[in-house]
Amino acid sequence: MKILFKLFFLAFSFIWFSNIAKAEVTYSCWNCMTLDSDGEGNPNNALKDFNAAAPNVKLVAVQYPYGDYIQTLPLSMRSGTSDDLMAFQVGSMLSTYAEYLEDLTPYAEKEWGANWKDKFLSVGIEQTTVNGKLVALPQVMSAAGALWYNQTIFDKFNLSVPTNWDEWISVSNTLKDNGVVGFMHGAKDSWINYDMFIGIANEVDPGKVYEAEAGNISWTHESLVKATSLWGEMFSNGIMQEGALGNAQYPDVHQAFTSGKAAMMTMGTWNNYSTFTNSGLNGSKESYGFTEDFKYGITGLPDMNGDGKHGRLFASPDVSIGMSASSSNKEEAWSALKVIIENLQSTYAKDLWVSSMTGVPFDLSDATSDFAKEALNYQLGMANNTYGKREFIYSEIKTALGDAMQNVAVGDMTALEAMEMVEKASQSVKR
Amino acid sequence: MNLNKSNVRDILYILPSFIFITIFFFYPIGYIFGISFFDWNGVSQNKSFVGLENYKNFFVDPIALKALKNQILWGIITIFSQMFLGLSMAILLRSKVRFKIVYKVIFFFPNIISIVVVAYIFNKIYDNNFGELNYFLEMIKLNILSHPWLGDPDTALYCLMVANIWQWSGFSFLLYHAGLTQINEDLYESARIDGANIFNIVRSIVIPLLKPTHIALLILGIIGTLKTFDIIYLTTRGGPARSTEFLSTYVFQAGIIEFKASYASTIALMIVLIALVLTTIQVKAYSRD
Amino acid sequence: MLIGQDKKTTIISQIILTFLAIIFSLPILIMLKISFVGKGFINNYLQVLRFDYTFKFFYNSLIVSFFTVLIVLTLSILTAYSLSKLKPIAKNTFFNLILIGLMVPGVSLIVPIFLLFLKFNLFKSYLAMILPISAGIIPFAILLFKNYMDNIPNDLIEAAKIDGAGPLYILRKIILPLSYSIMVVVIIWTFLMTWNDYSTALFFVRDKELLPVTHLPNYFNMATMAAGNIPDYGPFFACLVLISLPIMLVYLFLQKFIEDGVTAGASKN
Repeated sequence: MKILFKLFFLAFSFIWFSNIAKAEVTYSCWNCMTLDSDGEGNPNNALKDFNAAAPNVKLVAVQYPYGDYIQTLPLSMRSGTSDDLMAFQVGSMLSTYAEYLEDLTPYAEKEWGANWKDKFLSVGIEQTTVNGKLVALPQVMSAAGALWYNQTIFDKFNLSVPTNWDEWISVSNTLKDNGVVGFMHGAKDSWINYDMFIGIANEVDPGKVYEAEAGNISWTHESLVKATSLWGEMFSNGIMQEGALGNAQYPDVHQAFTSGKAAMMTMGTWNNYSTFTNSGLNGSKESYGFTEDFKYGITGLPDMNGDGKHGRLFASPDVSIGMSASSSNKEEAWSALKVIIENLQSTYAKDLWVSSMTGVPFDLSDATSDFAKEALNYQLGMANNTYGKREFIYSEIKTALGDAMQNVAVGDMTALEAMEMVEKASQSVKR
Repeated sequence: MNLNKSNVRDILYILPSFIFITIFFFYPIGYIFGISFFDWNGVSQNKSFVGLENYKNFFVDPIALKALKNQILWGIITIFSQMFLGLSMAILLRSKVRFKIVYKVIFFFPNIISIVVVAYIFNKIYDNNFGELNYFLEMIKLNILSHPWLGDPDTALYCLMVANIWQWSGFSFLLYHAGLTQINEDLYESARIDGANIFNIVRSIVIPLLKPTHIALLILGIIGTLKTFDIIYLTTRGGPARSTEFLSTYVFQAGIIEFKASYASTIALMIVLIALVLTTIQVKAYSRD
Repeated sequence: MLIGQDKKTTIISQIILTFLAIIFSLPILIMLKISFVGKGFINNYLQVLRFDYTFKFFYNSLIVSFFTVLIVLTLSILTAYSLSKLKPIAKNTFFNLILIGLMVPGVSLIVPIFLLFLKFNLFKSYLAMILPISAGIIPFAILLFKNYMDNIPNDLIEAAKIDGAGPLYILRKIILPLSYSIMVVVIIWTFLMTWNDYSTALFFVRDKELLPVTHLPNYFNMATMAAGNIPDYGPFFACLVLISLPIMLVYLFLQKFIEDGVTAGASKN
């Protein structure tokens, strides 16, 4: 009897303790980077790698549509029912939620030592630090501002990829005359418009847009006004497709470009997977219903300030992950976070994400062709030499800029008037 | 003595519903009324009291004004179009046409399907480069009319109105169909004897006698207009250049996207206020008959 | 006759109606066309039907719809009866206040109700959906019932009262049997609104197992890993078509009653 009881007690404790050892860490995201499970409970790629790297931690990641995610996040935060880990965009989103997030500095120092910052790209860490507090760690970076082009189409019509503004206009119009959309842009989506603006502004006069955001110069600075008016001209000089304001970057532009109906678009490194890997491209082919193997290439925006060089990229963490300050298992959450951020970089590299950590190149094993590899290496080179960041911190400026760009695009405002509106918003910001 | 007791007892029937409505409507109204006096981003533990500043900003806000204008335009055009189409369908279906049930189903079906479907369909139809509308125009050689429908601030709102009218005409149809069954047919006979044709009859008999239906549709139409959100959010999101922005979408934009929860509450209260005013006018007109 | 019953009028009417019907059915045809895209018609639908959660979500929607209809019917009939045939104190005030319930835009209700549910910990139960949706429909249902009941002649009621019948008896034996058509209307309308509801579940349901069928399309996105959630059109639309099937069936079945019913809510003597 006694022996039975002891055995039972042992078995019970064993089960109980192993369950404790397998603490559950919850993570909510709008793009879970395959850290979640598919509809049948099978772990997706990154989750498989996670389980291998951290067998003692059970990660439960749930992906929500972006619109749903940002609507429910404030509710869960304020009620203390948020998940242990959460995904954020840097900029105003992260600043707003900063007060509910755990300062990760002590964890980082304990994990990686006093020089932990050296392990990360500085442009990433800068943007996940709010008022000196490290509120999140960047998972992967996204560098935007590149000009993506379909070499196959250019070859077909004997054209070369535009290297300056005038060429951009003539090439786009020629393509249009030949029944192909030249440069396609999803002007309905404010985020790609911001990318476009930052790209043009930096090409016209590097860095000025950041100074204006910081309040050091006025938004009515001539380079920014010039950038705005160039933006406006794109809608009438034939560069952009007709009705750009009614198209979304995803799925409209992505579909048109990938399936060969549009020859150029501006995109960033987050789009690499669906275009340059076999698995990604096959998925696109299946959903969009095309079969041709196009040659896609990457360069910078055409030269607009006459220095003979094309534009560069600008980057922000695509997804950064923070820990809830009211989490009940912070240690496990940190172990999970550490694995997600550090150990899985090679997983992300396979899907052609730009790593947030230093010294992690692309994993080109699934690249579609040599042409693709060339394009990717060129892009990676550009990503290591950025103008600066991609996200705005102040939502007032973001809103005003969004309105300004739309008003100029439809001709309701001149570039100067638009920038005056943004400057007014900028001055209302409490810096 | 007896009268008083039963009057109180009769309230018990109303109480459960009223409790529901108090919890789910009056309490929230009180809540958002409260936070409209602060400056709060909807997330933070901190908020600062700013008194009437949100209200002041609302009245000088060009976007709010534009949104209101858009909504008024929308209301007038959609409500009357639906009523016109609904009444026409109802009248036509009183003739001896065949397959009446097919028509009834087709006209009411748009009312049934999810707004997500409606939005996706119309997004696709209106697409400038690959959409059915422009494709159709090209096919019948009317290329010049080919247009970036949802991308042009001058046309976007009207295009969405089409979607709305498509979706809700069936509802007006149903109400009018019923209303017509209640009119005494003899009135038509005597009018015909006097030499009236269908248009005279409709104008002088049908329309006046359908007044209760008109008013019901107006009330529901106004409230529906003020609450319109999904169709805009799923297609143009208020653009381009705020040409399809409504107060209801503005509430969402300000509250969720821009982290200005207090201002969003102010706007929401304004919507309730407008609804209140307009509905009271309607109800007064209704009870006067 | 309102409109001529002669051949000429009939033909003209038929032509106009057919023209309208074609225009009205175009968007639906386009919707069906899209569900053929990609992997093909059968595969798209099969993909949806094979998905883990499809039947669970349908089941959840059924449960929520059933109980919502129950609550809405019960509460609105009682209230409408009182407002129409009885003499409660401040009858008009109550009625006007109830109408206000129709006017509040949904977005502004999220936070306060969320806080309420938080206090009573309702997030992991069907109530999280049933309660708010019921609250949203009750004012409209009361409106419909009250108008209909106003049209029921009072002599029947007076006769019953003389025989000593109490108000509940009158409700059960006289009013309700005469109100079947409007009841069917309210049932259909409530079912429609509940079945198509998306945002209530979005804000107030914190358990994946309890989601309604309107959230099903979210799981059919392309695996492009780019901006996160692009629908994979074929299965996505197959999904939307499947979601609208139950309502379509219900409508086809009962459209005769709707006719008699909805009308009654709007017309007066």
